[in-house]
Amino acid sequence: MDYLWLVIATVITVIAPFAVAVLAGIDRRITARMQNRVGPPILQPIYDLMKLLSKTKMLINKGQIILATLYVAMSILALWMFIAGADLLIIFFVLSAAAAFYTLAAYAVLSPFSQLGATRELIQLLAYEPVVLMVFFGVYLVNGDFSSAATDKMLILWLPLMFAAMILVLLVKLQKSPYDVAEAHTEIVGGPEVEYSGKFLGLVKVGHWYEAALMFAVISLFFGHPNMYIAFAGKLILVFLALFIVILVDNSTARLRFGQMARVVLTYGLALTVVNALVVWAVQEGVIPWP
Amino acid sequence: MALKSLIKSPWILHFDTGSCNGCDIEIFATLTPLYDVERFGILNAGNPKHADVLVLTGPVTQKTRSRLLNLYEMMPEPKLVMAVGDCACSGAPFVNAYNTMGGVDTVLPVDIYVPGCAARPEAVIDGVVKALEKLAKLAAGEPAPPAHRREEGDIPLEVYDPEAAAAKARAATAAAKGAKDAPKGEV
Repeated sequence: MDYLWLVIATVITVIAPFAVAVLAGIDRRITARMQNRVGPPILQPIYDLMKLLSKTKMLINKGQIILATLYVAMSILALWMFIAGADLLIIFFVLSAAAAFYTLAAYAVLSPFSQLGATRELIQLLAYEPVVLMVFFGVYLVNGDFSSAATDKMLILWLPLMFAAMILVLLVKLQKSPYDVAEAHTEIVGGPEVEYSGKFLGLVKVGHWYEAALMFAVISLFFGHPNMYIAFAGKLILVFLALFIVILVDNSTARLRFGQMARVVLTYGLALTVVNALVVWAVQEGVIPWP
Repeated sequence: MALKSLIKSPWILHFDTGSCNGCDIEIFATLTPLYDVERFGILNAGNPKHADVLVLTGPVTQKTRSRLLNLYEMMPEPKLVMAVGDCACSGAPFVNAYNTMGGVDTVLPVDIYVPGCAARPEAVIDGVVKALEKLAKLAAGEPAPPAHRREEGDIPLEVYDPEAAAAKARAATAAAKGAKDAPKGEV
């Protein structure tokens, strides 16, 4: 592998959370406009992070913080591997490890809200992981390998149903209603986040941003073009489109129970991906004639 | 540095220390899209471990005192305390009531007082702006009024002692009983 590209991947990985923070700021701004108000500055998430990082340390136990740090490290590693063009399956396992560490960190404290949130986090992990795995499989069907490196192929034309399934996964991963079951601020006061404070809450936020960056990176995989500039613009537009749909759904629905979330993601979400994969396979094998 | 970044994103925690709910309703009105406090980065954290500003309503009752101290200790520094409404500011009509401690400042050092019965949303926003001004002054190293903690003797507050009150009541009952039982011929 080209060493220069590894350096570039590292630089992009360092910048990524700031890009996601700006996206989160735009998200809060659009949400505010949808509710007919002005909303915070675009850089508000960065101000929030700076404030959190400047507060004093208060910790419940060391285990929680060690596990949370591992979660952030795994999220960073997953994104770095994605940009460096690693195998999607390995990225999938690193991502799962990150989510598992986050859940363990939530189990490490005895607060009932944290325990509840951890259980919900596990359920949602079981719900969205098969869908993500099927999406990666769809990428393999079209591209011919599991590499996360960008290709010229326009994946969204081949995998439109998988894109729809990815929106479902985004709703779960970005903690947006109706599927913000683990976080559930108004119900279980933040679930797994409830016992973090100050600096450590900032740390966990950074981890969330890395996870979100990886999700947006997967979305950007759906657009490909031989021309580099068109490809870049297309990827950006696709990410904004996905984000806008997520915000629209977030603002027009109320939270469902975690069982309902699991049911919808595991039936409709998984069915969308399986049907899409079957159609792609049938077209490639010549079972369905395609112009 | 710490204070400077707090100015742009004060997250609040609202706690009812024994209010009649009048001020609570006004605070929730302040948090609605009509007033849009998120413009200033203000969020209702609802969790002491995430919050920076403790917004209190109502006189501190004997029962909520320990909870209030608990919440205050859970908040990481730097933090501000805001007393909203007349009762939280001074105890108002409940000032020598047997079940209250008086205003919030008898229990915690208070940074900002927002008077009013009930304090209007505009007044609450004004209070937050004042709090941020104070933070800006502190961040710039300028002198700012310190958080106020009511000392004993500030206003005469009777300290309620259940033992003494019970003894007093017993004595009064005994005296009344004694007067009733006294032979009438002596008068």
